[in-house]
Amino acid sequence: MTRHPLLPRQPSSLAAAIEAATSRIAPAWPLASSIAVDPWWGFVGTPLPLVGARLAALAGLRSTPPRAWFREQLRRGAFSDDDLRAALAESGAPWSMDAVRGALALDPPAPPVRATLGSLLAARWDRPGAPGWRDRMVENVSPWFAAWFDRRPAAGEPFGRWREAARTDPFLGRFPGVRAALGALPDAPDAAVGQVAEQVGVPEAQREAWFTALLLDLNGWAAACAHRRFVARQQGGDDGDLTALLAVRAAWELAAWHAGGPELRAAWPDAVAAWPAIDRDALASTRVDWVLQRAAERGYERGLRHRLRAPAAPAAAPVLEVVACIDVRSEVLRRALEAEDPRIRTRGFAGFFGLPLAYTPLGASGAEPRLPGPLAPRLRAVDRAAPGLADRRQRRVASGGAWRELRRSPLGAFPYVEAMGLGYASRLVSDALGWTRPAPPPGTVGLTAGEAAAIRPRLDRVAPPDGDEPAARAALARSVLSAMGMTGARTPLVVLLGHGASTVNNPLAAGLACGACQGRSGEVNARALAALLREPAVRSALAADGTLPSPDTTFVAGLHDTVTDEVSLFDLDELPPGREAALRAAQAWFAAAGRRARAERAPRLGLPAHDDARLRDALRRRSTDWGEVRPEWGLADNAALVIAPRSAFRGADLAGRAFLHDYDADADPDGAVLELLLTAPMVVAHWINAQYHASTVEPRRFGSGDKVLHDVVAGGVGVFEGDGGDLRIGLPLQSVHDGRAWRHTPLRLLVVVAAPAGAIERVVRAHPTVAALADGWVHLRQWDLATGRWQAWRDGRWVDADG
Amino acid sequence: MSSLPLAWSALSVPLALAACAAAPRPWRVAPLGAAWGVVVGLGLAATALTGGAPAVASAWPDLPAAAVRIDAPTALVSAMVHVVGFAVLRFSRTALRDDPRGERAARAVCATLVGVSGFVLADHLVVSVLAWTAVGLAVHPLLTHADRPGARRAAREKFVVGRLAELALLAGLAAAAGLGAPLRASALAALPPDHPAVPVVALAAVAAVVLRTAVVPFHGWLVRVTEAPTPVSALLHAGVVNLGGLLLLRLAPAIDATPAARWLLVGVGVTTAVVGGLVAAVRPSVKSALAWSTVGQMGFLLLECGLSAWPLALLHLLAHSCYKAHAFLTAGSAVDHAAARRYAAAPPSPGPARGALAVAAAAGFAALALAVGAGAVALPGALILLATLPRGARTAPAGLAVAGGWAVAGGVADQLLVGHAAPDPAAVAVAVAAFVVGAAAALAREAAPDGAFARRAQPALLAGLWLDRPVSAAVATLSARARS
Repeated sequence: MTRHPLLPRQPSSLAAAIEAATSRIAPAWPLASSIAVDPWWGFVGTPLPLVGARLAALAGLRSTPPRAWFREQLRRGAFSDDDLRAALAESGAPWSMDAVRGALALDPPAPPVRATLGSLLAARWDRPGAPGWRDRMVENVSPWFAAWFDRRPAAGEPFGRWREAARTDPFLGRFPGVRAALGALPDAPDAAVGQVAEQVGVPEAQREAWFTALLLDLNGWAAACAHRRFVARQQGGDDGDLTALLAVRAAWELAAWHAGGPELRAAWPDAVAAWPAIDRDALASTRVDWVLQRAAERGYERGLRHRLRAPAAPAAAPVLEVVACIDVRSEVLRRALEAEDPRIRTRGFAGFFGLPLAYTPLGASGAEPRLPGPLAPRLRAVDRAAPGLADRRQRRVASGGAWRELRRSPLGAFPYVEAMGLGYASRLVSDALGWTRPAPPPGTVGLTAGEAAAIRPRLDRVAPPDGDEPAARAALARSVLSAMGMTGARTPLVVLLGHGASTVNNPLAAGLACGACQGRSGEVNARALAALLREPAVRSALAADGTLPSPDTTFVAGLHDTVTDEVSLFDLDELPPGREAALRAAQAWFAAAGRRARAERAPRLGLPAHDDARLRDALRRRSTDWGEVRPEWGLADNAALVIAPRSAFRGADLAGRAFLHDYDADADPDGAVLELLLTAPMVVAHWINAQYHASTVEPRRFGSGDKVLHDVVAGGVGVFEGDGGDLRIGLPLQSVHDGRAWRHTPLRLLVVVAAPAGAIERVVRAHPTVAALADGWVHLRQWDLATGRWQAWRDGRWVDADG
Repeated sequence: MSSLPLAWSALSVPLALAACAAAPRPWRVAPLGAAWGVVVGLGLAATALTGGAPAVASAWPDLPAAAVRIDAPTALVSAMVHVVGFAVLRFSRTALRDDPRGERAARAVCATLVGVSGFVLADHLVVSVLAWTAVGLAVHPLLTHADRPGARRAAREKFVVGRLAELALLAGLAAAAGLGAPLRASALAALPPDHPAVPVVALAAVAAVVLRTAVVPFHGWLVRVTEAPTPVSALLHAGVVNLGGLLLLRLAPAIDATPAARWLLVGVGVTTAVVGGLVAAVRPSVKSALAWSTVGQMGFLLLECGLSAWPLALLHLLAHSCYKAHAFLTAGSAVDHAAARRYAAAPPSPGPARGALAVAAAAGFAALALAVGAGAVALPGALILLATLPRGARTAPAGLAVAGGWAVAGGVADQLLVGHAAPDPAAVAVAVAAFVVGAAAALAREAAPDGAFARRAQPALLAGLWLDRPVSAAVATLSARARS
């Protein structure tokens, strides 16, 4: 065994390498509250082509589509030869156009990947048709962590427990010396990681990269552990699962080291010595892919610029204002609404409506976050309901729980099945026909339809215990309205339109819901805010200071079902009298806009658009069919974020591909709102865009695979695809692929901001995260509304977007 | 009523589904074909129960192999299979809408249902074996629908074990024919118990069923078939893997007359039931837990056959299918179910005192029941006590309801099958003892989830005690040899 000459080490360098490697893993939220996360977020700050090369070298992961996809895009005219030429010039690469065209015509083999001891052993040990070494590793580690997440013991640490279990593992027992070697590792996971690195001779400078590669090998579980750590650190604590996972994976390296015998140990130093060359190869072979990627993005950018010209003029006196989420699906409905009547104005705002809520549903034991993932809740919402209903709900759910307990107990299942099984015949038929829902929706479980309809989510106390509550409520209302740009609203009705997707039997339902509400619908936030803005004390305060000059302006909460494009409005009995006509008009407009939006979406869903009644029924079926794997396309094909006043591009058909956030630079002289928009909604939109991108270009590791194979793990920490394997994160195949072709176009987010270049630049320079994103993780453009000119932020300065 | 129209109405079901399998747009018509199967099954059951039909009807008077069973159990099983088929087809029609291999899957599901119908309806055992083979071949492309190495391995294992099962049964039938036995199940069941062919047929059938019903140690493929789409799992767990139970039901007199066959069923059955139940309770993903639960339930089915509790076995065959098909098809609702648990306090784990009480009460009850000659209630009573007592008052209402429901359902099933033997008290005692030991192990683990015992047991249970490894390894070796 060769040992690398090791310098005397600082004890902290190991900790630093572990911290750096574990920080590369972006968290994955559990299914019920799942939000989109950029899986490469741990690398933010590094230029994206370098990240791509790193992922390729460390774990064989793709970050751009295959060449064939680019060829197809070029052939279909999605980008042009000129785009390719411009992208090449932009890249600064010293290649000729012929060389790039030549590369485009080729399907190069995947670049080599850094060997691990596991992969080195697999190359010798694996036999065709039988589970390989990595399969054995995964089938040992993955169920073990699943069980750990399922039933976490009151005390204990996963690495120690895993090692205890590994001592009886018959597979590991087949290799002499492995059990003894595992037993000789230190108990502390970080020390164990360090000892393995030392024992197998990974040079100090390579440790962080090696640890990262090991974590990426179990990327799904790493991301689940990273989420635990993210939450723990958000609350001021810490969590050791991620380091323990690294230690477990490192222990398998040690197992390979012993199982591989002298031959493997002799080959290993050469493999390690080849790592830097592999890194260089990866960079060289992926560099041209990023030129192609940029060319495709230029093609889209040209089209978007063209579409953003020549806005339609709205009528001077609006009769209805609708505030909708920035979600790309709102774009379709907003455009449809505006097309119904020039007097309708719509506005884009993050769908949590500025209320960072922790919402406790009636009778629930804990609160759930209803705000964008990176933020922490600051306000509470609760359900107002008839007295005693919470108890009744708990009792009903508990009695169902007793049945479940009996059914799930090791022996109770036998009598249960024989006594009750035949009853499931009718459930089979009624669920199959869509007459019944396989499980009550979590929002209304334990409630009758009437009880559920009577529940009203409302803001709890806002002020601190000794504070002035009425003043605090008015201040909150004022600040939200001003952030929305809704101060001075005069229309009789303002609809706060959240969105959600009604689906059944869908473990990944949260992925279709509102990303700004942590994988839930925007209903609670919209209703809480509308109710706040109807409170008489709040209204008189807002009228007094001129925030809401007209006493006639009434706020109503609504929910846009993105599967059916139907809009429901809430708490209509709380509206002041005299709004009936305005309400009827609004409902008619929503119905008409829904028809328009459905017709626009129908072709993408493979449904006929000409008969709305049939189309609506088909979509309603999709939202109630237990076998449905694609109720809608969600945010597929998202490509841009436009931060601008709606009047600047009203009527532009952005094809449901753009996030829209309203912004009026004139009303934001100090740039405070702009700062908020670039640090929050832009990050969220990028996370969504990056999740779709990664799930499309690397579906095996950053996507969760085929939904018909999904198996929910540990009550919802994630899914397995089929019988085990690593935990799967990201979007399912059905969200980005239609069975024949990719339906998401993997383009980096194009962020178009109608603000002075200097104001944008100030935010970029003040926030390292924004600067890192603007450095090619998204494409940042300044849109001068007066001249129509676009400037691009490139290499730390503004350049003409055409150059 | 003359038997010819009855036979042909029964046969109209596989014929309709065969037409669906060959139809240009199978998704459109296949659920209708399955629905027709439900209608015909229920109609034939009503006819049989009102005494309007013989047990066996001939579709082709000159051809003994064309004899069709139209007794009530057959009709009910057929109706149940097509209820499952209907749900599976409706589900898959949506779930596989855009799958390029979706239509192929639709045809395979229809073909599987044709095979199942053939197996269920045939009176001639050679026809049954052929139909059983057809089921295996038809379901094969569904198992490998997702082209994944794990799916191929599971399918290969099922293929090898399944064909061995059929060879065992065919060999037994050949030997029985040599001893002068008829090969029609109805005629075989009427043989005098001391006929030399009776033990041959009984043992061959039991061997085939043990191989084919995913009991330990032949269960590996079943728990890995979550590699196939969810509706395929539903079909397999509810309409395919349990068919062996029907074969045993048909041959009940022969098995009752063959103690070795009964003891084999009891031994394999109770072992599988306990292992499957224990493993299912620790598996951390929904479908995997359901698959292990099926393993346990198949063990329970064979145990009931071994205890000559034939009416309960029939009930199990019907009830488990409906339950399990529904459980698989709604596995995607796990997140909704988990969310609902926020409205109810988490159940405390049963303490050691309650656990000990349950074990003692169950053992005592079974001993008493056996002592007074009420062997038939010993096992059900013990199981109910083991399942409900540790959890106290919370699950008591559900436990009582289950006990009542079981008694009623069992009583109804009793009316469907008459003339069965009483259980062997020794076998009942063995079964109760095994369940008590299993429950004690489970309760010890639950009472101290962090204790030394639980920490040792957990990884082993998680890996299914590695009981699938020998067969899997043997099949892998065989196929590696076959390739080279």
